[in-house]
Amino acid sequence: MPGPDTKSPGAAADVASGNESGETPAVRMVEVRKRFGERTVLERMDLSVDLGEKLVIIGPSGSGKTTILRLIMTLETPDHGRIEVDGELLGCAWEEGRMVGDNRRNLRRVRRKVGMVFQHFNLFPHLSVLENIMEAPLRTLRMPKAEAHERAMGLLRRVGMAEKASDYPGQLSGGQQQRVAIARALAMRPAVMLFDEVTSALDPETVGEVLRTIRELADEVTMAMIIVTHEMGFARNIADRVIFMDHGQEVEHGPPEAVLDAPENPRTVAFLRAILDR
Amino acid sequence: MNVDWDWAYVVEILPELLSATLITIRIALSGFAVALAVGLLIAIARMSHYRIVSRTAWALTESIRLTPLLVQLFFAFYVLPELGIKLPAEPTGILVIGLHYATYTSEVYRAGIRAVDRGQWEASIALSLPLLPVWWRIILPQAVRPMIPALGNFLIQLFKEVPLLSTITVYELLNTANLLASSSFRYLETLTLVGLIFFLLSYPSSLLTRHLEVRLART
Repeated sequence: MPGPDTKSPGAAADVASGNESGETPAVRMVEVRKRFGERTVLERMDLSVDLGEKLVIIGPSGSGKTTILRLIMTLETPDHGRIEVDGELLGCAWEEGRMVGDNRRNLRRVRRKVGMVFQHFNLFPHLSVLENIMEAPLRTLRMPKAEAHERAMGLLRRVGMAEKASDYPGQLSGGQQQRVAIARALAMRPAVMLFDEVTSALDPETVGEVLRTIRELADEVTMAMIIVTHEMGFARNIADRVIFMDHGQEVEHGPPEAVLDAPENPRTVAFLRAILDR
Repeated sequence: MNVDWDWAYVVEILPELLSATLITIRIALSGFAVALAVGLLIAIARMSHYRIVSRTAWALTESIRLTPLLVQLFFAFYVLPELGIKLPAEPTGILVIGLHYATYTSEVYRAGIRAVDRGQWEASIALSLPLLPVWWRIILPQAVRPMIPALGNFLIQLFKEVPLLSTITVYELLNTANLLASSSFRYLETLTLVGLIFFLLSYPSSLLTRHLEVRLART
């Protein structure tokens, strides 16, 4: 398929990841740029996440980290570059706002491999916990009701929310709602899960249960995860690799012990100090 | 002033007026059903990303809203048959009044749909839900609740405009009363009863919508 990457062969090679095996990465971004009006939120971003890899993205607000997730979830479209999921082009490839590759025909199928958990949960408030989780298996995957029910209950048990199956989101604490949201995203069995500051809107006492849930998932499944977070302890604990973003660019990347404990870039140093001083 | 109220006459015409009231209610409810269905289609069309669709819907609603209902009724009843579209008086009236009110309900729908949190759309995309369930299962159920009082007010308003259909030979309440009065010359009793019936039906309905407004605002 023609795309901008054929014209810039160097782009993918720069991407640092454990991808020497030649396996198709779960997610690949090539020279992705995103502007909102005059403001550039992402500048020539290259990124590759392997199957099963846990990538944590840190950085100050406005650095473009959430935009990366939103682009992969197709909640935004890039102005330039291409995004692939599991080796397939996600939507369109762009060159300076001009379409140079079109895979919209398969958008739904490709996007199904991606799941997302939001900062504000975004549960469906008029549906019960169980219905929230069964919705996508029933409507998107057209699964028989009994099977969808079974899958949903299994997931609820996994996030420790089985007793709340018939409750409505409004009756739950923030932490409980977020665990339900995680189960809802998992119900699609995505190859990649995106976590967008999932503990930022929570009361401090419920942050732990959500992080523990994600931690357990990371241990038991081969799914790739891209996690945007301000919880540095959690980042260190779960990440295979950490990226530090600033002003729409990747400033530093490497294993957590390198980026978080011995950062080289002064901007990373300043950011981590500010976070730890909070 | 000599007011001469004849109770015997009231008793005599009441059954006929009440059955005409049922016709009026039937027309109002059918017209409102049209307004609800068409209004939703207009609202969705106006929010379409395709300019042709949204512009057409906009032009249609403006042309309906900016001409009098009475003119539309006459047009549908006298002109459309000449163009080969022939419908009995009552269905014609129901369609015209329904379309007219669809332009109002579509605005209510639009406001309600816009008020649904953007995160609900984003979650629907993240789950790759097909468009139809997104509207039916996720967006509309949340949009409709706060719209109920406004829609209720339009139902009452529509109900009060049903007498306009008397001009196209529909025997709803007013037309029936007129017919009775023109043979008995007792306008006092007939028209008073018409007014009273409208009031007795509209007043509880408006209380109900106000009650809903308060209740829905609280939850």
